[in-house]
Amino acid sequence: CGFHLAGQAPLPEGLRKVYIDTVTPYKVGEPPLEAQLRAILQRRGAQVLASANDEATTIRLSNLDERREVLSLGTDGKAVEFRVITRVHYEVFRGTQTLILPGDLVASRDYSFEPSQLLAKEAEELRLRSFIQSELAELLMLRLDATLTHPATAAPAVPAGGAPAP
Amino acid sequence: PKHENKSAQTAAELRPSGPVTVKADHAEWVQDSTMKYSGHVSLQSDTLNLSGETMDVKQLADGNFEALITGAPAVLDHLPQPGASGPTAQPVHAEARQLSYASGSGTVTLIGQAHLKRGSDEVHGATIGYEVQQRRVRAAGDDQGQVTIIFTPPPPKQNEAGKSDEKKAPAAEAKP
Amino acid sequence: QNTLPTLGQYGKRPEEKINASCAQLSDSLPPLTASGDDKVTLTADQVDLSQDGLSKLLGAVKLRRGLTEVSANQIDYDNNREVAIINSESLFRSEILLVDSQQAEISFADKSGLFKDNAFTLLSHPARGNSRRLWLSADKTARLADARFTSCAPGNDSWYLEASRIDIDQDKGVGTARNAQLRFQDVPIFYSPWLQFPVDDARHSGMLFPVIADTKRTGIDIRTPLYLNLAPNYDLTLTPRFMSDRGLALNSAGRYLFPRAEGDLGYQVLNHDRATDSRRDYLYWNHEELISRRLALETHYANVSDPTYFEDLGGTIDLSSISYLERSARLTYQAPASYSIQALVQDYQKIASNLVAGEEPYRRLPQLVFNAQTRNSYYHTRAGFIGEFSNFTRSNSVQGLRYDLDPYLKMERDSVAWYSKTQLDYRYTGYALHDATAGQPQSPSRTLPVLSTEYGLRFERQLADGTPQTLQPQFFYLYVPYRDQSELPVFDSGEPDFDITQLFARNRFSGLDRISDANEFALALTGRQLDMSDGSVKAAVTLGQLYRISAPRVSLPGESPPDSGATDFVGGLDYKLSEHWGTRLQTQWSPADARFSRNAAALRYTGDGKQLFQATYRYRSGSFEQTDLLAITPLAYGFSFSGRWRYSLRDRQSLDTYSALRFDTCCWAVDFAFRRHIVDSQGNFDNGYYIQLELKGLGQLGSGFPNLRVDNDVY
Repeated sequence: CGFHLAGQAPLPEGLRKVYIDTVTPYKVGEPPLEAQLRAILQRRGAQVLASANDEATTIRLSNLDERREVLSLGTDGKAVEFRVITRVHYEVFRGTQTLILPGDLVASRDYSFEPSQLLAKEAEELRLRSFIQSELAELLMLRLDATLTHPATAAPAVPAGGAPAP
Repeated sequence: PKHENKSAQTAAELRPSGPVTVKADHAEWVQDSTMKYSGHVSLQSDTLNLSGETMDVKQLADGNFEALITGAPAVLDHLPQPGASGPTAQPVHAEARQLSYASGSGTVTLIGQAHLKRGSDEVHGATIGYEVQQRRVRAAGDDQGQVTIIFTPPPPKQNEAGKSDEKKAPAAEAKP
Repeated sequence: QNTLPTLGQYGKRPEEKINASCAQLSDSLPPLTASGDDKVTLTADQVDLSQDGLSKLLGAVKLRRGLTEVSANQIDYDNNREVAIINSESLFRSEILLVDSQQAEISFADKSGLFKDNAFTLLSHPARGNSRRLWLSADKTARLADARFTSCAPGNDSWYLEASRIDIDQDKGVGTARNAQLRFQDVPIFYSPWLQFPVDDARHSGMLFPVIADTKRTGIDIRTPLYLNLAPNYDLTLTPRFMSDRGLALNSAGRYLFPRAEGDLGYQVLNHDRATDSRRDYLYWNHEELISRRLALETHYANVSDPTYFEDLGGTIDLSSISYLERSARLTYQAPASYSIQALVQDYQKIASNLVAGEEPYRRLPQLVFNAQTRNSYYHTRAGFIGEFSNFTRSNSVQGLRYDLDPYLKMERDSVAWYSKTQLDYRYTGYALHDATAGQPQSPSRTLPVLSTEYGLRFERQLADGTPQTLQPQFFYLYVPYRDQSELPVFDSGEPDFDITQLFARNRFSGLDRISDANEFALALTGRQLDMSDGSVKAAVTLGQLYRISAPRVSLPGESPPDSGATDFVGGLDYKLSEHWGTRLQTQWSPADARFSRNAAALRYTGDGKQLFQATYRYRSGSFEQTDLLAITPLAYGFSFSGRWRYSLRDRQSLDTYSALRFDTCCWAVDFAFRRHIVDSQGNFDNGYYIQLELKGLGQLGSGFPNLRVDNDVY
């Protein structure tokens, strides 16, 4: 049916040397999103640097916003289902050259809620958030791949001074 | 002053009534008391000096005269009143295709692309009327365009209100 | 630099620019070109220039100097005093202001002007007005006497501010009116001896538009918020709230933003609630701080005076629908070598009245989690250790310490076409209990290994038109031997929803008190179709099922473990049918009793402009079955409608009905809203009518009006 094992598409030149810059102003440590993105890039053969430099492409992840919203209400007016939504803003540039138009990624998961299982549901929410961040890393990688390997399609959208990597 | 009848003369000084000096390369008398001068024409009366290529001077019955100077351009220069201060101390320089000077009314009318400069102020227009005695300028536009005046504001007063002080060099700081 | 985002970004209302957009006189004028030098250029039909620099100009006169321009039929200009005197109608134009006045005197020396009986238009902020006198001074401030101010287009006086005096300071971006009267459709609606309003888009202190409501719980309910922009990085909103059935409350909400810390706090107090004859208050404080490059602190605190605070006094749906207010302080230390320590102190305040005593959550005073992993791997294998020490307390129940030591080996191989992940843990969990029930040992413990292995293949293909598709089958096997855990207390264990993420979970339970024995494998298939140009996901399908070789024996008290064989089949589909249509399905089908245990279906239409329709169906067996209809659409003549209706099919009743109508013109708008929703745990409804008038350009919108918050990307 035409499906073949992945791996034929070479890593786009823009991703050969990469530095991931996650902006989390008041947090320490590496969010799962960055860890997963590093793993994906490394398995594709990219060299993920520990610090920024102008030869390497910088992937800047900012405004990582994890939010919980009430999805469904019970007949007692209390929430019976929550939705976890995680948003991140990404910018991909090398030096002053914008490689991909900055954009946002969003992913969400729903889970049922019972007040009597508060601590358990909290643990479930933490697990879902980590799962969502891994999914965001994959979605971002799909975008990087598509935009950097088809410069023709990406060219018009890239602002002035941002000629995509050859 | 009596009108003297002169035949054509080379650059002879002509002294019509009043302290007016006319210089020109050629002078020619034309009937009904009009003199026609041509070639580096200039007419000087006290601090006023008009010059151009040709000049027609028409002597009037009441002793005054009208001079019509044309040039490319005809030029008017009005030197500052000796010893005066303030606006009258500024020289006036003007140019136009034609200058019409009526000694009776003491006004010079500049006709055709008239430009007048008084100190650092400028006036441009189709016709400009200049009253010599009060150094007063009247100008009017025509269908080709309006009159334009460009003033240069006086140097900023150094914190004394009102008193303008010419002796000091204009202040260096640029006005905002 | 630290400046707070504008209220809009924080506000409940989707971020919308709310300054007026009415066409003003100034829009049609050609831009002013600076005439470079400082000379004064005048043009006129006739000019009379007297000796002492005084000139009289007549006929279509235009005076230009720098960036100011005056045009009139007649101007007297004195070049010595640099003053222009105009005794007929003139149009004065500067960078900030356009003034059409009947009489004017403009001094270019000190860049000031006096304009009598004028009509003015602000250029930086679309607003206009007229006044008997207008004094313009060099520092770009304008003072107006007997003035009117509005943002409506010329000729449209829907609303205007009438004041004996208005001072407009362009640099500060603020206008101040004295004994100001606000007239709407010529009806005076507000008077204040002093009123401040913005004349640019920055954040300014000032009145926010009041919200007037009539609800069953509070009667007439008027909020008149006042926003205080104390500094670029902290501000305060004070909202007096008058409730006819309860009394006068004062709500305050502050935000702060420092280089190393950020947070918000608020206090709401109703001194004497006539309905309950008691004092009601609500305090909250959220704070995040980077203490050092390696140490971060995050604290949350919330406290209400009584459990029914939100049920009676309302709040956003996020507040009125939760049963507990969290209070926690979390300290995280991230060492350069890859280990981290997290210390948590956590407690909850119960705010729902229908909870059984035994169901309250345990307090964690404290919980310490140590997490370490070797940086590099040896033969793709890494060693790691997760240690947790917690002290659980809860009144009249079993309490005590729990320590969990979880060393593990993790082998991960990951190449583009396939990946494998195998992890072996050897876990020890011990307790030191007190107040244990009779017969329950004081220090039970549990030791067991956990082995999981996961394999995945990645396939790709491109359709004829080049559209990329990916297909990713995954296989997961889990083995955990049985350990009798019936003597272990249940502090934080529970059963999570069974969904795609749970297929690959290494424990059937969440929390640590129960680790299910397992001998099972799971299969999952994920397919994606991408947009060729930007790689965004057009469609995604996930299918999965778990097969239990042997039935687990560990269970939570009072629940029976599942039996062996195939478990529920889980599936999900996200499909962006077109630019306007999108659908999302989630399902969970149980082969054992051949019925759905969970379904969620959503269909969304996003039109161009502000149009959105959405229908959602959500079902969880034994829990709820609901529909959720959503509509936002512009109508005609400036009207727009937004509505949401949540209906419970199982209980055959509405849960939350919301509808709002907005009438929007270029300089003012009015919002009406009706909301009927269940407000307390007895299932009583509250009906609320809300109205908010918005005079664009005169201030910002405050909170309090129930807005429909719709996420544009997620549904």
